[in-house]
Amino acid sequence: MFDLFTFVLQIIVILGTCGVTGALFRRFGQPRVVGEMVAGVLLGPSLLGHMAPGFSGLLFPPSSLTYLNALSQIGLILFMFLIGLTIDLKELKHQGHAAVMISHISITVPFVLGSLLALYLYPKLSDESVSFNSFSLFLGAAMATTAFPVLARILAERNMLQSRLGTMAIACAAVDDVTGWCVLAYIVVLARTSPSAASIAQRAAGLIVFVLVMIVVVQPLLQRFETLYRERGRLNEMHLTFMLVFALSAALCTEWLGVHPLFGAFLFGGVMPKEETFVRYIKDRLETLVTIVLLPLFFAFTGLRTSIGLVSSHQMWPYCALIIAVATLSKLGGSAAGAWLMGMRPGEALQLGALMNTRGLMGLVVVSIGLDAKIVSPALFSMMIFMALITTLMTTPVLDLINLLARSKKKLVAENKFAARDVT
Amino acid sequence: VSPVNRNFIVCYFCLVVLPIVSLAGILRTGNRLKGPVSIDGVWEFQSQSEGTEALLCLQSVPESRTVSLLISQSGKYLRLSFTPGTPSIAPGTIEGTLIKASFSPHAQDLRQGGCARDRPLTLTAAISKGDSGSMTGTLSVDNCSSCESLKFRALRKPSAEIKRAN
Repeated sequence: MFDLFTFVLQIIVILGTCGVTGALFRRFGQPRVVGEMVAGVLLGPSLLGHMAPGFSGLLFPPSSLTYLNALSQIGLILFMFLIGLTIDLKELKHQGHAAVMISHISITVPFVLGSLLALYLYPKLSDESVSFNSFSLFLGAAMATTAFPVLARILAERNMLQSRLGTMAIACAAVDDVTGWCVLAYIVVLARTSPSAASIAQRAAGLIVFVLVMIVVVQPLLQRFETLYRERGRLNEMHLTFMLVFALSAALCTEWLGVHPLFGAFLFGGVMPKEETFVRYIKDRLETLVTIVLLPLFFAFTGLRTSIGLVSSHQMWPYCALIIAVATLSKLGGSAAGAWLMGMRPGEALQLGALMNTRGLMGLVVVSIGLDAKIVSPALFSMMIFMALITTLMTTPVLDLINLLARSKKKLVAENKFAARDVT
Repeated sequence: VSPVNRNFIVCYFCLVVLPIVSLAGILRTGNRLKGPVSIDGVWEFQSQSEGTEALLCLQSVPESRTVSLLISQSGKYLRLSFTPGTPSIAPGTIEGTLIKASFSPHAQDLRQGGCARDRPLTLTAAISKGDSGSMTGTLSVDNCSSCESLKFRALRKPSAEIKRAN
């Protein structure tokens, strides 16, 4: 039975904890969202459940988690709509060949290395109920993810959004996100359908028809929202309500097609008009509720399913370390190598690699989908949550380190020049 | 084709096209791999011997002849617990069709006058051939020559039944 008191208490505790850890992490130069992700893990069996199992059981009784999950899923649907709204693939045209090359390398290298790692992990961390194809493609997709919103926030906080590196990173992350979600949609279809080729083809065909309808029919109709905004300088409540109704309907369609509701919401956001002030207007109306209230619920729900105990044995840590190492080397190394080959300076290429290695919230979303679709086991889920957390946590220090090394190298070159002039 | 474009094509081929092609090879190799038997879920635990020492160690297991054995599986690594029963969770593994797990019950979970505190319980079981829905095995007290092992049989509950119960 629904217990309103417990539910409201859960929300108070979650928002309070996320607020405190978010502020704490900001003080240490990390994006607030990283602190909120950590808060989720702290509220779960890894800390609260371990230190005070009685209190944890009272605060988060298993029967109450259904409501928490439902609300967090609504938050995620709206969040994915906002992500799709922000992404403008036309920006890629301004970046030329380089962005295409770097973004494609930054997807394929981690994707293929992740799938290769699956050859080793499948007999150890999966079982016969999961097909190898789903497992390996999922591992690849999880490694290839980049957290577009976290990356944008890091760039904004470092005043790099308008720099060459910043615009390139944003363009590449946008391509990564779109590709990643397409691949993930396919994997979920693969995992949710019976293994017969006909039923997979049926669902894939349904998905393709849905995407085409969204692009050919819905996209031109959505221009009406932008026209109204341009004419009146604002949208009234009815327009915003319909926009949300359409976003939720798109999410419902993809759920019905057997993919995932998040894919529909993301696609709906993607086909929305991209005029800058219009996008800003919509984001201003939704972002606060989504990021301050609803996303922390998702972090908490993810944290409640993450258990450090599942990774703490001496057998499990090496797997966890291996996953983090492959994820970091393939994403950071692949993106940096691509950028360097396309003519970026080594320092700049490494910075781009470090930025692309930020998995953050998107990593959490992808891994949660894997757990819900029963593609990943509970222990692998916990390991991949740690992978998403650590790769996000390391972004700022790695960027600082690269900057420091670049500065000291510049200083050294300048000193050498000065010394050479003295000698001559 | 200009030299710049040629370099771009060569780089793209080596770093994008080739890895994608190699993915097909990875998937083909992987499809030959066999994952551990899936045993995740709730099992109806039925003891097949009367009140033995092994069961006397735990607070609630001996009270009823039928309890549930919860198995949380992550590949070949398992976490087992009894319900109703102790909050102790036994780490275990599955190799082929053989399951092995070791319980170290907390002091508060032990029955007074039961087994000594420093004696863990070992669960060994085998999944029935051709039917991954049943297993037979023993639960025994380690380092106790006078303790008799408990023989048991467990049947996997269908997931629909578990959902209904929840």
